[in-house]
Amino acid sequence: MSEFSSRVEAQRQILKAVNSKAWKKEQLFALTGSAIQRWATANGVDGSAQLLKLLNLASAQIFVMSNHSDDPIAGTYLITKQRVATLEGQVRDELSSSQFSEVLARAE
Amino acid sequence: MHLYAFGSVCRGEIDRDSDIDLLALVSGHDNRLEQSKYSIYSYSKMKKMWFKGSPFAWHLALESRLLFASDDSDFLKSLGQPSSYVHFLSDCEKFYGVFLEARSSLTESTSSRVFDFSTIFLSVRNIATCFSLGVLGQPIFSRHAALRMPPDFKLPISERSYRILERSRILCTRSVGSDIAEEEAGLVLSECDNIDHWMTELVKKAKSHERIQQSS
Repeated sequence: MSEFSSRVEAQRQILKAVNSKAWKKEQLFALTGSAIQRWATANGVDGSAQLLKLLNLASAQIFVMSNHSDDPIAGTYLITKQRVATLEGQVRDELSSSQFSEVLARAE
Repeated sequence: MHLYAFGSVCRGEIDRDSDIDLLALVSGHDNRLEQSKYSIYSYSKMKKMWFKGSPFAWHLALESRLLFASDDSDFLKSLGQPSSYVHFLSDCEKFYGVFLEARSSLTESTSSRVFDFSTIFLSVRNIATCFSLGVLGQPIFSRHAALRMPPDFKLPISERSYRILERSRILCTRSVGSDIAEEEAGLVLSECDNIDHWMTELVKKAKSHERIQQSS
C-alpha cells in the first residue's frame, strides 16, 4: 500500500469508528479541523469532550504523516503512523464509554 | 519563508467554489501557519519534488505566483524547470488503487460514504492530471482535469454525478455544503463501473506510452 493510500485508510478507519454511532444530525465527513468542528456543532458534542480532543490529535498526526510522506521508511513517518493507529484505538474506547452510550450504534 | 499562490487563482479561473491555494516554504516548524490555509513544505522537500519531476512541482513551475519572500528571492524560479515526469504509470496505478479502495469501502458500509466519494473525486482528478502531464504532454492542473481532457479521454459520467463527487470533496476539505442524500449516493454508485472502466483505460494507455518511451 502506498503512503498516500495508507494515509487515506487511516482516516477512513477512524471515520468508520465514529460513524458506527447514529449521530443526531450528520456523520463526521473527514478529519480536517473544520469537518470535526462542523460535526461536533451539528450533533451537540461537548467542546471539551475527550473524543473531540482525540479526533483533533488524529487530524494533526495525519497532517504530520503527509509532511513526511516522501520518506515512508524514515522514523518520523512510521512513528506518526503508529500514533494514528493508537489514537484510533482510543477513539473506539471513548465511543464505548458511558458518555456516548445514549448514541445508538448505527444499523447498516 | 516564501509564500506563493497557485492553482485556479493563477489561471484566472474564479467561481464560487474556488478557494485560493497558498503554498508556504519554510525551514522548520512555523506556528504562524495554519495548516488548513497553506500547503506547507520544507525547502528540502520541495527540492526533492523538483528533482523527481513530481506533478505538484510541475504545477508550481507552471502555475504559481510569488507573494512574499523573506530574502527577496524567488525560490521556485531559482530551481529552474523540474525534471521530466517519469513516474506517470506508477502514479496512475496508485490513484486507480485509491479509487478501488474507496469503492470497496462503499460496498462494505456507508460509515465513511462522504469521505469515500471525496476520495473518488480526488483519485479521478489526480489520475487525469498525471495522465495529461505524463502521457499527453499537455498538463491539466484544474480540479476539473477529468472533464477537460481531450474527448477520447474525458471522464464518462453525468454532470450531476460529477457535481455530487465534487460536493463531497468540498464537504471534506472545507466543510461547506449539504450532506449527500440517499438518492444522490445511489446515482454516484451506479456510475462506479464507468469510472472504473475509464481509469483502466488510462492505465493501459500509460503502460503503452511507457513501453514506447523505453524502446526509443
